[in-house]
Amino acid sequence: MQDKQFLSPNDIASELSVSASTVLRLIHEQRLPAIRVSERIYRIPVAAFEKYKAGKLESPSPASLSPEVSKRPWIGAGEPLPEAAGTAEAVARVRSA
Amino acid sequence: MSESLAQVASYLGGLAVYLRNLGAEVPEPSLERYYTGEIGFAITADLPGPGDPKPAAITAQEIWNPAGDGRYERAEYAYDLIDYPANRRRAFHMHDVPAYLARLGVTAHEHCEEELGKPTCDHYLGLPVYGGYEGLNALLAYWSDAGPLGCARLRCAR
Repeated sequence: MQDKQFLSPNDIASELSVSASTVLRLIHEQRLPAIRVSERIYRIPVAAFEKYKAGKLESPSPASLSPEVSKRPWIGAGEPLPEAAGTAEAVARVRSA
Repeated sequence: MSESLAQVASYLGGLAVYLRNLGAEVPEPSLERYYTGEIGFAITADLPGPGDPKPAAITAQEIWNPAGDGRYERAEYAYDLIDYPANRRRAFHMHDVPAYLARLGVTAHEHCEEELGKPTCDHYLGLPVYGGYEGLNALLAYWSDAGPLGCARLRCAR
């Protein structure tokens, strides 16, 4: 297992000697961290499973609010804007994608 | 959908823990206040796994506009995956909205590089990502798949 970076629910089930449905329940209950690849496919990073086994998963807590007011960052700075295109056509293409 | 300052702070804290519990290294996040009256944040996570030439990194940046009554609405975002070990990039962006609407008729765009630094298209047409969890999970799904990103299947905005 150590040379793999990701585990499947079946891998976890074997490791824990439980059924795959039990593993899926743990994932759905957000007790076992997992990456949802599609409706039926999940991947669990080995590092996440190690945290789970060690009981080192964290519970969410609110982020702190910065005491200082700062300059607004520019998201996408340095990224060139696209060339102008046929607006209606572009919308139609995205909507139909 | 508008959120209170406390709700945005909880959301940000939740995003950081979501990534940490997946094994990522994430510094303690901080919700920033800007002179414009907006709030926002940027978090960067080093993902577990191979670190050569450096670990895969995922970032989430968001800007929230005041919506009245002490509430805020997410107005801009950038969710980026740079998978250094696999030498590739995938991203979901919404920023410079008036310019993108005028030029492409869409608010959101995407980036996709099967080979890092060598995009075959600068901007792909995108649909809005409805929150950080959705954006990050989608990027993590790409990260967890050793196959091609599938950039050729996207629609280039030129």
